[in-house]
Amino acid sequence: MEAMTTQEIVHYSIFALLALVTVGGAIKVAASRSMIHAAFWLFPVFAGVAGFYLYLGAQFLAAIQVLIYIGAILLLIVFAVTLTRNAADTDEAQSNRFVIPVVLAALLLVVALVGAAVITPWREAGVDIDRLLLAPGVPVTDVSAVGLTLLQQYLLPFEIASVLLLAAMIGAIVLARKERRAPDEALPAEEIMAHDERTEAYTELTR
Amino acid sequence: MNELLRILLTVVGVLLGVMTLAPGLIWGERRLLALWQDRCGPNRVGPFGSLQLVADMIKILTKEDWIPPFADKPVFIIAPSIIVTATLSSFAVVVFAPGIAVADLNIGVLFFLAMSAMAVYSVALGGWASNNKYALLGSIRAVGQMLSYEVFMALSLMGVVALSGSFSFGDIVEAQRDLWFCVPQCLGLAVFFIAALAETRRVPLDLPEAESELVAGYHTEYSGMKFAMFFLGEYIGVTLNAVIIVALFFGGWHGPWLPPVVWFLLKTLAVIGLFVLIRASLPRPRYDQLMEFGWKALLPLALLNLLATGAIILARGG
Repeated sequence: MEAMTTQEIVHYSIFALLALVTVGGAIKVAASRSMIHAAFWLFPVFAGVAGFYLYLGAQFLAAIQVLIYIGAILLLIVFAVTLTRNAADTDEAQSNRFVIPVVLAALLLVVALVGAAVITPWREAGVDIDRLLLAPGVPVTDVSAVGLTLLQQYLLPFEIASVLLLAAMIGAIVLARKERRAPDEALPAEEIMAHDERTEAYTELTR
Repeated sequence: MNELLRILLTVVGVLLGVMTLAPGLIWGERRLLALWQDRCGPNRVGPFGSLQLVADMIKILTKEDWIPPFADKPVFIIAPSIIVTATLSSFAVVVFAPGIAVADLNIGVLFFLAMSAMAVYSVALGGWASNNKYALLGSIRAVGQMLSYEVFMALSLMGVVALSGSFSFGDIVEAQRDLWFCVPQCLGLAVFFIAALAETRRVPLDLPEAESELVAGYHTEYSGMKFAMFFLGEYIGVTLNAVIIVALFFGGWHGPWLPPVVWFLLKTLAVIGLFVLIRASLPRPRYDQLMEFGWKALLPLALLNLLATGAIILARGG
């Protein structure tokens, strides 16, 4: 193997550092016994991915990654975990009954990602994959190009994703509402019919 | 070598400028509040009390660096540094005058939004790590408030981005050569201004630290330099939002006669003065009122503004 130039060493060490931060963080997420610390360890994972985008010249994607994943999704996860009881306890079980489905889903994701990387015609698109790490190419910052591609070439996946998000939102609202209705559903019908002003007012409200 | 020197000077200059303006603002605000509320304010240390800040710094730095035994120690220590780091790094993308910018990224506006999203962590983690019910309540309020208002903040800026066709601060200021964006984007400016108040957790929107209900909210357990970092973070945030408003809505460095940097500074000081005036005059709303106002008034307004801006650009054949 020929000796690496300084430039190569720098590029490979940046890559190695980013990979270490991302993968190391991911391992800590799975291995942390306290729920809140697992959530905190997601931070280097998302930040590392943003670093990869930046490293590959995709400044726009990096900014969106930080804005959406770190600024919104992770924050909501931390928020939700803070509200649960025993968030900082370290005696929670590390595995549960979903282990096998989760492993299968993770394997499926690996297959999909590797498959996508293999079947993408990199060379036809003018990307030199052997030197991708060394010469990350022109920065892809043309935001209007990203928008046009999303709304023309990939319109269908885009719309499907928005329907999926809408469904998730409605599902969340239904779940959040259900708990409030539960007490009067649990009551026998006569009791609801009985002259209880509060129940009447309540059924009036929920109607 | 000359190029390197210029870059170094810009970086050091911006950092020094911000680090003087933000603490200076603490004194300036106390004096202005005193003036508007008919009180004396700090007037003993130095001429017009201007050395009050130095006295405060000495006191804060010599205080015991106390970490409560029930706190989550690493998180407790990291939390206050996040807000200072995140707000300070936002200044890197602002163009103060032609050629005076640390890094005029072509995703500048997005970078600012991403960094202000990071600042939320400081408050969220600080409140949680304190292991104190008032701190936790404060940080829960803060996350809800800042996460919601960030949405309106981002949406209100999209009109400006659409008009100038760029995310870069340099291009956006250049696009305002003939007409400042505060005229066509007055709705966006109003939404952004209110969102900026909520993002920096200033009176009247300081519900995360409402002292009449929550002791001091998320920083109840903090003291000494760690508290000072939260405090400084708030004032750097105010300076940052004033700078952003000037650059995106009030034509940045554009102005007759005076040199560009002076114009930028004067406009920034005027906007900061407005922030202080609002603090001096408005009462604090209830938390549910704040959320309702955001989602039921600001969100439709911001969307309407974006829709109208887009329609006008299309009609003009842009």
